[in-house]
Amino acid sequence: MPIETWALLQAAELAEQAVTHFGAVAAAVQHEAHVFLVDITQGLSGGPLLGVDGGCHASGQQL
Amino acid sequence: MPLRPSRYAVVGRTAFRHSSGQVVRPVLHTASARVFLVDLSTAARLDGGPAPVGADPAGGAGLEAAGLLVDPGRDEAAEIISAGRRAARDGRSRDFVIMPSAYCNMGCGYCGQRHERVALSGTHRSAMTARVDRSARSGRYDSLNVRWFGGEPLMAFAVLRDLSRSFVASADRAGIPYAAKVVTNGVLLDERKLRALHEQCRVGLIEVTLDGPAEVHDVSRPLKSGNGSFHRIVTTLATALDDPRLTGLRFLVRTNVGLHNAQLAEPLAAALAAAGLAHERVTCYPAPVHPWGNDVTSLAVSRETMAALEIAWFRAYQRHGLRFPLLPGAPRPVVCAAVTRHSEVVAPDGRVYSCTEQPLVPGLSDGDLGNVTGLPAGALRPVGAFDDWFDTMAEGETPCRGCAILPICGGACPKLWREGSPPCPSLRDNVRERLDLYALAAGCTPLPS
Repeated sequence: MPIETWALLQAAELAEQAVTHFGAVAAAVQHEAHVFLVDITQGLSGGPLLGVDGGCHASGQQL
Repeated sequence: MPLRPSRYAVVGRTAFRHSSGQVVRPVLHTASARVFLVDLSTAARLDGGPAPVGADPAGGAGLEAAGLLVDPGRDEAAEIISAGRRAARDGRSRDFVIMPSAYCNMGCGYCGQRHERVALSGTHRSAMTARVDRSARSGRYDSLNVRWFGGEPLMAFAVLRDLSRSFVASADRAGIPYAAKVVTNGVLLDERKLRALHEQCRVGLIEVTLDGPAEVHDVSRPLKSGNGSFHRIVTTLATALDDPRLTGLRFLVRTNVGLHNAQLAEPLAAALAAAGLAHERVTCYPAPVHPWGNDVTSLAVSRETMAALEIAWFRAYQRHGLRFPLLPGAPRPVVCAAVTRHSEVVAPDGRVYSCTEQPLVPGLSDGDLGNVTGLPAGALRPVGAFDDWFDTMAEGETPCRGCAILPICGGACPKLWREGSPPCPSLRDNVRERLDLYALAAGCTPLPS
């Protein structure tokens, strides 16, 4: 028995919806694996450059 | 082959919410001294966890560009040590630490120096002037830097000013920048000296030490006359901050932390703020009492204790609006003057050293490298005991090669390593806590643990 035209159109529409839905899911997965990386170094200087205290009065302190 | 986390990626302990809504953890890349916020999956990966499945290639490229992911074949420690060796050998800055006086008007209990009324003689000053002038004219250097140290350098203020005039003239003739810093107990500072230091001697940074609120500081750092100094020092600094002729002058306020004042962060921070020192040109920092050529076992706190104390001191500074450095602002390829021949220390009797902790200290002061009057004016500092420092680290004689903070620490103190007293800074123990404070200061909101 030949498949009615309306059934073919319905199937095509369902297939298109399935592709669209899969694409949305795939995009969401990619978003969840996206790396968040922000450099916050600027603007938090506490003053002149300082190194670590190595014990002496002159090391670690830069002009 | 997949990239691996850099050995120099240090991840903070706490999760925060960034202003964008993203949940993050802070990460310090010590090789560049840059601080980042990353998502939790990336943080876990950088902290030794697995790479997330389906990781975003573009994000991975960003992490690689930031230095947080590296090729697994790289020997990062070797790169850092090699870079330090090159910087020490090829440095473009000529540095002098000059002690114009062997005397000090204070008698601090933890000081290992022996003080005598000796100042740089005319002969020594002539030799110094010639040496600095030849360095400036050599065309070898992009800058000239002088640190005035002691004893108490202001005990020989006239010598300091006289030498500065010559040094500044040499730098100006050569067309290279000149910068100077003074490490002083602060008692002899007044308006006249401050203006002379800044305007004539090109001093841009003055470091003083305050060991607690007045009643503690005056006992810990007594004048040889028996008088106190806390109020005089803070008043002088506060007045200087309002002087329109000193707007380019910055101040460091150091506190030598030991058993005598470890718990006094709050009252000292309150006193400094009340005195007007919560100012953009004033930076405060705590430093542990060290063995400066003497036995301080009855005074000093352990490294682990200092690591916890530092966080408390930072929080006290923060509560009172004082500025303080949470993390080093740049990598430190050359840890100190002792590891580069482009730096030298000149004592009040003209003897030249590579290490600031040898002059004036009994038992160590005979480690000099000659007298400034006997060195050819154009010659670099003679080779000292610690000029092989980079070989020492490369060969694993210290654990620095395997340490995540090596790029911002540089090994801390070659002298103390050689003496069998590992000088690892408290940063090594509390860097993650500092990172968390950094994220807070950047406006992130901590999440409940």
